[in-house]
Amino acid sequence: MDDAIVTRGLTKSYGDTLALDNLDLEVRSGEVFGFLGPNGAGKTTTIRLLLDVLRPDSGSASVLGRDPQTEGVEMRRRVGYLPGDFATDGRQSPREFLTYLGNLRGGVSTDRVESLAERFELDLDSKIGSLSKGNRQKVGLVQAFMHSPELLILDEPTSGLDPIMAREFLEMVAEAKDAGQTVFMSSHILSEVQHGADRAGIIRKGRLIAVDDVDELRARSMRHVQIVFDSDVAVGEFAGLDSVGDVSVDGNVMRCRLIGEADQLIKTVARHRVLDFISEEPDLEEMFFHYYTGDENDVA
Amino acid sequence: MMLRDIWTKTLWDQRQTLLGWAIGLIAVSLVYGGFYPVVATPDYAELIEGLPPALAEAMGWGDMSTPHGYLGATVFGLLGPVLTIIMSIGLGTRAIAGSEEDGSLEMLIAHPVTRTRVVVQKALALAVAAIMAGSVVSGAILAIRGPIELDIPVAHIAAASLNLGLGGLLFGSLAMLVGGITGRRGLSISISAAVVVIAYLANGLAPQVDAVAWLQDLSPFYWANGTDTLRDGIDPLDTLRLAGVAVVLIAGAAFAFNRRDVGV
Repeated sequence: MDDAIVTRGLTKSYGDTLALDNLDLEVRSGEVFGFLGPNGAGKTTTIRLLLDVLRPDSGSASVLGRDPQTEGVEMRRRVGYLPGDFATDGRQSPREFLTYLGNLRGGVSTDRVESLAERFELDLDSKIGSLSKGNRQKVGLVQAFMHSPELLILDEPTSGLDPIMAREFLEMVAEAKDAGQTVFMSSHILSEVQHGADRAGIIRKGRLIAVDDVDELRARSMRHVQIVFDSDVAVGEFAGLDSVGDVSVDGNVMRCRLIGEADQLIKTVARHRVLDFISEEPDLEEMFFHYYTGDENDVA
Repeated sequence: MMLRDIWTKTLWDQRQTLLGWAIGLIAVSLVYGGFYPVVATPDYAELIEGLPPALAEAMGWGDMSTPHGYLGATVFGLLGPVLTIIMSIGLGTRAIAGSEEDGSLEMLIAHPVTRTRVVVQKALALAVAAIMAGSVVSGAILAIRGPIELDIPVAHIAAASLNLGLGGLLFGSLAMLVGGITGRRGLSISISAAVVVIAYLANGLAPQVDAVAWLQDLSPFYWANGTDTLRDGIDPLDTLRLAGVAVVLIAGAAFAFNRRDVGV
């Protein structure tokens, strides 16, 4: 099957700032693709170029086999889009807004809208302006999903959602995949993409620096681990373990970095009585710093 | 029904605003128009004659004792245009620049619509609103025409109201053009407002200085001239000029908006 999204040498700058530098990206039809990067890396710029909201300086894009610039209407008919900072006139109700957007697409069944709203526990009849940020985000998600598009392009879809709704969202992504839809979603949080996506691309300073299966990415991902024991421990016991680095011990507290498999660490720790175990994901910037250090002198 | 297309939705979203403007225009028309019997007295004519002629001419007060002169200087010459134009510039600014800055335009153009369709439909909504503004003025004047014995044919009142609406449309279209080019709300309002002031002065003051008298002929206020229209009826060329310039400005807005990034 053809790729759902292909970009070749896609480049975009704002004034003197290079936002996207020669992006070559392929998203396969039917997959869930996570587009990862810290804020300001060029994720939103890429997405807006795909929708023809922005125009590239050079390079090309193809979305569902169409050129966004010349065949945009035909392409956007088959795409559902959630902008990164979803905004609309707050004086209307979600029902009014969604009916309007559905009409622009030639009509969307009210049953479909209502069942999506129900899943998200979204009240369709109060004014959008009076909704919380999370509830507004749900309006944005409903409008992206409501016409069951072939391709969903979602910019930071879980921003503002509480954990339960974020899980509901990932469930909907899984259903979309089962139904043969392609999902392209951006995030600056690795774990979010880990759970929902098949593959992920990592973008930094406008450049795509890695595209990998999510399992592979997870294997290479790093966590900060802090363990509190009931008595003092020695550095030497942990320092040589597989996947473990930067070990430091302060009395009965051990801190380290864990890259990949946790097996050896857990088995070693288990010899002691453990009072607390904290595992934290580093932010993407830090992860890049350790693992994808391209050229630190880049001016992006 | 109102949610079916861009232009109907635009009007629907503005329904409260439009109602407010309509009430304001009706009030202005009734109050100003209703004062005609007071003004059409010898005392008042004497007062106007005591003014420096240049001032009277600049303000369009040369002919205050006739119904067309009075209405042309007041309802159709000052407050009517002011309200209609402010409303239209507001709508024209909101159409592109305003909705671009608040982020809602991105949502719209990410749908299966061309940018040209977005501009044309929002311009259509603006045109409907501007013509509506002219129509409520017409309606109000027609309502008091009998009671206060305004000796002006209905067709002339309708023509002056059409020009009033088209004048609003023209300046609203200018706001859309600036929005189409820049996407900036502040520029859209300020440039349009500046052009309104220049056009107003060109109509009122330019004729008094021989060297620049020709400027008057470029002013939409001159094309829409309420006094002449109320007296003589529609001047098709002037009315076409108002509509034609609006169409050109809208075409320019669509052209520019098609060629740039949105929401940067």
